[in-house]
Amino acid sequence: MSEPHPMSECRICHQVDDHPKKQMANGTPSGAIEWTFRHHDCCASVGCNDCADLVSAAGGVKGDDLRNHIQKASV
Amino acid sequence: MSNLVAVEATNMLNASLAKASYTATTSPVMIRLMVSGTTSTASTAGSELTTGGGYTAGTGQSLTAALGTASGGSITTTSAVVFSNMPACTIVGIEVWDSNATPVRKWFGSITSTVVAAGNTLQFNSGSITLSLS
Repeated sequence: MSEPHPMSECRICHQVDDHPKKQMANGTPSGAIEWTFRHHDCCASVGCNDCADLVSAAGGVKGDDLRNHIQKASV
Repeated sequence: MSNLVAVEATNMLNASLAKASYTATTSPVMIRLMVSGTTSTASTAGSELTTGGGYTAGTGQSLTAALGTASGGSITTTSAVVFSNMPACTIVGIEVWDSNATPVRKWFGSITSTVVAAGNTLQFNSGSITLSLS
């Protein structure tokens, strides 16, 4: 049995799940990094071309199906 | 990230004070991702994420391409550094290495640790990485 995937909240739709996401480091005034997460389709919906391409290439699937596509595509 | 590797600090001091010529950095400089284990110090490299998914240990991703123009003693990224198809891991820091045939470590720093799910894209947004000497 594979390890469970960590849960995280999408900054766009606010859904908490273990779906694959774009995990972004943002600079803060203190110099520390703040991490935010976006589903790839949500990220595409706010103008990210990389995520739009990824979602399109995967045929619009989500969750584990999208993760499987990502992992197979880079092999 | 203001932590300069000791060898590089000596290299820069010698060049700045006309004691010796600067040993040039081989472009591009690359970001490597560090996981818990050996902590990066000025004299010791940290524990790098092992090769898996889209990440290649000993290589990382280019930082040079993302850096803006140095000013006032510091330099900041002006575009994103992206690691796609990450393996499951927890990232606790980053290191900057050059592209010499035997890569030379230049900078290191801890970051707010983050748990990464397999298949995630890890992206350091523009402005999230600053290297400073002042």
